[in-house]
Amino acid sequence: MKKYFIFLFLVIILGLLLNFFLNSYIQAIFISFIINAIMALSLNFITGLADQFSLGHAGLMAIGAYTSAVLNKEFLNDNWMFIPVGVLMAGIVAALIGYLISLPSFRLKGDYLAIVTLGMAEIVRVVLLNWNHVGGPRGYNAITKFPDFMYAYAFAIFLLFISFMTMHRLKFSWFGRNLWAINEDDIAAEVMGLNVAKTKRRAFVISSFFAGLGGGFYSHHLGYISPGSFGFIVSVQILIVAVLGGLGSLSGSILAALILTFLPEALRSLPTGTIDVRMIVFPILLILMMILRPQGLLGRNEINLASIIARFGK
Amino acid sequence: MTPLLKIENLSIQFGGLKAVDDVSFHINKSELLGLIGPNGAGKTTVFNIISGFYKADSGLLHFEDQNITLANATEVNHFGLARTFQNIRLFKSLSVLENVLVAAQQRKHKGYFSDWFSSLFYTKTHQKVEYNLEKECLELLRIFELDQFAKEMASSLPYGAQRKLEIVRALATKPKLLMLDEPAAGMNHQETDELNKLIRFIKEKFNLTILLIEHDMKLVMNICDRIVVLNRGKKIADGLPHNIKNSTAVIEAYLGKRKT
Repeated sequence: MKKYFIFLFLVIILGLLLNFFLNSYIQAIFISFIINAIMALSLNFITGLADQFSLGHAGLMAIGAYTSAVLNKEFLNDNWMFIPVGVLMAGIVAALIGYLISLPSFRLKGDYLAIVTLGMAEIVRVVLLNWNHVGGPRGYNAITKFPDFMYAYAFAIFLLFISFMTMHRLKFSWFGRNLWAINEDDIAAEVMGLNVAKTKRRAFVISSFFAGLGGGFYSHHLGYISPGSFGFIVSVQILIVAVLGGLGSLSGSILAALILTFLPEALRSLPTGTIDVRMIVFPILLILMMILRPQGLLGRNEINLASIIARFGK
Repeated sequence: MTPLLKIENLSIQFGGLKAVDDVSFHINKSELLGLIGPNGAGKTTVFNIISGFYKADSGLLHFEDQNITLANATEVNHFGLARTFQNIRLFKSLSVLENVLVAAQQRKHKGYFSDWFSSLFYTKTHQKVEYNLEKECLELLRIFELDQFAKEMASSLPYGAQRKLEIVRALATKPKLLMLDEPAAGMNHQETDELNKLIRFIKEKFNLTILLIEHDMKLVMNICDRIVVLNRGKKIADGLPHNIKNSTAVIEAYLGKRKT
């Protein structure tokens, strides 16, 4: 219990710091970091733990974003108090769609699965592009936002905490062991009496749920979404975060999201002009990180907060 | 007494090759049956059909009066058959204990709502279930003197111990019939002797029925109660070890016809 209080205390301090001492630019980046972290966590659960390569998380994110945005604006009086309801529904709808997708696609493995999920994301994008009721290519505008940074911050931290804790608990439970077993050797897992297809499907549904949450919150953070915000490149960006943090390491995903959200912003101070130096330096840094740590920053391990706190407590 | 596993007129064809052609045999309860034959005789294919990886073109499989012909690998395990592989298939970067846990937990955590709830909220019952499961697995490892490696990565074990671990993992699913696919492959004499003792020990200790595929004739002749010989997908002999040793059909299959 003690470590949760310490965590809460640190979160409040950080929130106050952000609120009173830093400008809205940093605050907005901080919220994007949390969204990136949730998306990377959700991808890591299926790609890192179960080794099922998905390139369709942008599609799931889009489903979540549109669900929450439309629900809030048209059915819940456009009231910011109902944002959590919308985001929860976003997760549920994304999980349902994820389940439908998983029915045919989890007969496949590896690259083939990646292609199927990629196709799914493109279908979602094209459907949204042609759906005039939700704005079509113009996008969906004036989505309900939190009135103040502190509300958004509290909700963001809450979402991240729930996502992380759920997946962390599952990772170190029977379900996580099943996923590792599939990751290592699915044939042997099958022979041990493990229903491989069902387990993969469940993992994908859980992953979809959190992708939906992330997407739902994304729409309320920006206030504007369009099919263009959920292209292929977004799936790849999520994948980059998950890989850099270490496939299979949940805390690694959060760490990588932190680095990969703030680093491009920090590099904005580099000279621009005929050559945008930022666009050269950032990829080089990425390549360097992958050369130095090919298994990702943390590999499969987790940061153990309790032991860190214990060390500082001495 | 009805046999534990009955195989009737099993056939499978890959393209034009009849890998298994009308093979029938049975395994009695608490028997140690050896399945031998020259390379490419179809031993492993029979194994894969029994364990649910291939679907037979024709033929029937009966396990304890249940028809398991159409069961897949997972269902076959739930019926009570466990197998090992010719090329060891451990969960390499999981610890030795976790390897066994994965096998053992399939009986405990079937994915009901309570399983999810308890593992998400880390309830008392969950801790108890996990504790008991771990204890049970450690107990099993201790029987095979692998408990000292419990926390080590499975791939870091020596070859013989990896073989042993694979057998332990199969046993953790509480099978009635254990199927060993060339357990002595790649072992030296001393290790084979140990394996010999190990298989006898397992059979006594867990009161198991064992189906064994093996190339090492000394091992097979030593421990098997009965032997079935396959050649080119057909069954050519079925009998006690000393009868098999003297059977002309078997000698011809292995060494060729005598020129006279």
